[in-house]
Amino acid sequence: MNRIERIAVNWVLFIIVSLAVLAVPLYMIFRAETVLSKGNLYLFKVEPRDPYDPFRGRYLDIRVQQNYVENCKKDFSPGEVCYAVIAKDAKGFAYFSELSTQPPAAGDYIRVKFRWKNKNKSLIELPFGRYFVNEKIAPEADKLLAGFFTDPKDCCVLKVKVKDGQALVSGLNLNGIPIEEVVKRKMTRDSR
Amino acid sequence: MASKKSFINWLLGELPDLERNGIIDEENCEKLHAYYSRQIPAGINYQRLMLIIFGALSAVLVMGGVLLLVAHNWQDIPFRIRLSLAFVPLVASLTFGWYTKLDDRNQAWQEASAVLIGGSFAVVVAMVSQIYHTGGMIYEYMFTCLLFTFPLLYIFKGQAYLLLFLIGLTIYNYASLRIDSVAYSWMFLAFVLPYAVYYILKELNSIKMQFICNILIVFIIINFFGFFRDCHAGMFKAGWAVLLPAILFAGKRFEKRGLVLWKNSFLVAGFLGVAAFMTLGSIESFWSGGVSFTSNLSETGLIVFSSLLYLWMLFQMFRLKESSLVIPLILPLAAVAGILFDSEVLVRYLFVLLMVIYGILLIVKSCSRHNMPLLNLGMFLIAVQIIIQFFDSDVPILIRAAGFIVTGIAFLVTNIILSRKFKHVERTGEVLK
Repeated sequence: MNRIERIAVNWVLFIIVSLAVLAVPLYMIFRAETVLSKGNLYLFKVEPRDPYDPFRGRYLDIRVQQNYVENCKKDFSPGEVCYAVIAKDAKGFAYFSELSTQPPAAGDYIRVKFRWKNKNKSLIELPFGRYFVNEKIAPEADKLLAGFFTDPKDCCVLKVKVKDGQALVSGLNLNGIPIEEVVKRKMTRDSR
Repeated sequence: MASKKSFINWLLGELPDLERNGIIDEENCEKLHAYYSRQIPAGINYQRLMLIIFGALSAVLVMGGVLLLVAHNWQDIPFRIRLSLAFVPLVASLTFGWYTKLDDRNQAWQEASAVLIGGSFAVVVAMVSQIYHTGGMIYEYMFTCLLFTFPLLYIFKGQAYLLLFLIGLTIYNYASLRIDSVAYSWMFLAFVLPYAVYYILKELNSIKMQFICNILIVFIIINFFGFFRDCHAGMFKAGWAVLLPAILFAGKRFEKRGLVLWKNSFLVAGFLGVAAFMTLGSIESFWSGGVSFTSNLSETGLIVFSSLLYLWMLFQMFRLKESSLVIPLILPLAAVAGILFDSEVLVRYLFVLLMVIYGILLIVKSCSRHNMPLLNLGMFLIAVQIIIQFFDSDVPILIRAAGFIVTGIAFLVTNIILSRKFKHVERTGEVLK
């Protein structure tokens, strides 16, 4: 390859990379907007904590209470991609009813990774584990959540929109009120 | 290099005097001046080097600052505006990159462009995943960043970006343990290796090559576990028994190609690694646990990788023709035999024997080359082995004490005698017996 050819290849590569690095975040936005606008809403019971991501800042680490499938008939290896079928219990909360290697023909599902099996529970890694919050309200949110579960009636719910195997968090509610609103109310109360 | 350069400078300074005193005529003076001016070796351009380093460093700092701004999580700003703002650093970096390429700017610009584009892509992905609460685990985030930015290595040929990419790959390797397939780690390694190898061979003996070698050695050693994460401990030990001698062999190859010792990080790391592994191997408990093979991707990969590396070492043995390299070549066989036969005692004594023979071979080689550092390395290996055996066996404390004293004195006396002999040989040109 002569010098001119090398320069041409280098330019083509640069153009491809320039387009790719612009396309990836745009695609992420498009996919997220599609799920948010057209997806079905599910409510998961969660237990949040407040750690820190060095790249993306403060977030609440959300652990979905039922991050497993009970009595799953199939065996998977750790890290294997599978599809968790979503169902709703009598109170309207979402849970995972089945794991399969192929997307189910009907009903909503989420593309997940299998982690390991613990007795009759097949644990899965969900694509929503984080809820990013403002650095200012994060410590308050953390304090709030630390004392939140003392009353058994308290309920922390994650709102998740689901469409074609993709899941997107649309909010985190404490006893039916968005966490941002609860924290703001508490901060206003404390400042008085 | 430095002495040749200073000698030529001295000679060029003398020429006018020689001409003035009639020793050489004007024509010869000009010819000599022209000839020796061309002979001045191209030294390191420190100004240019500083420019490259600070160019890359400024880019890293700018991107670090933008990342921290993102990490602040600006929820007070409406999310559409936040989304638009997320693209500002990326578009600005791409424009900077286009300008660098169009104008064919120097290395500092190339370094800065690669770091800025790679960094701003990481920022925009972080910001989008923050706004939509997506992106999940840190390994998934690193996966996206690494996958779409590796061509920047080849486009801008930047070393700062290579360093950032390897750091990113290390984070990915360890963040994805037990979650993601090891095949992805290998895929990223395959992306970056051709670039690193190309530069090592192209820039041999330059400061660039030294930089790449240093970061590559640290990367290989830190990430060896990450690349073969699902291996049984016994297999992992066997893997190290191949990798460390291979690093030493690579260092020997560079030495043959004229790379000086202080720049040859492969040789230094290889020797220290082999010495450390032989020391550990001569402790019985190191070999407990045996081995089991589950034929998963990591273990199969380790076997293929180690076999290829060993074949390469065999090939290099014929090219290098150095008797002392026989020991590092036998080392993997001894480790594999010990692990396969599950005999801790056998493999331990095999390692003791190998380390002592290696020490003796280095001492013999040092005598023929009149090389004091080599002599001390050989003696160091034997001394380490004596100390290990004293601690690892039930020898009474008085005998241990005497043993240490004798070893210390022997070390000192041999150094004095041989250094005198080497000096004598250098002065007289005699052959050392």
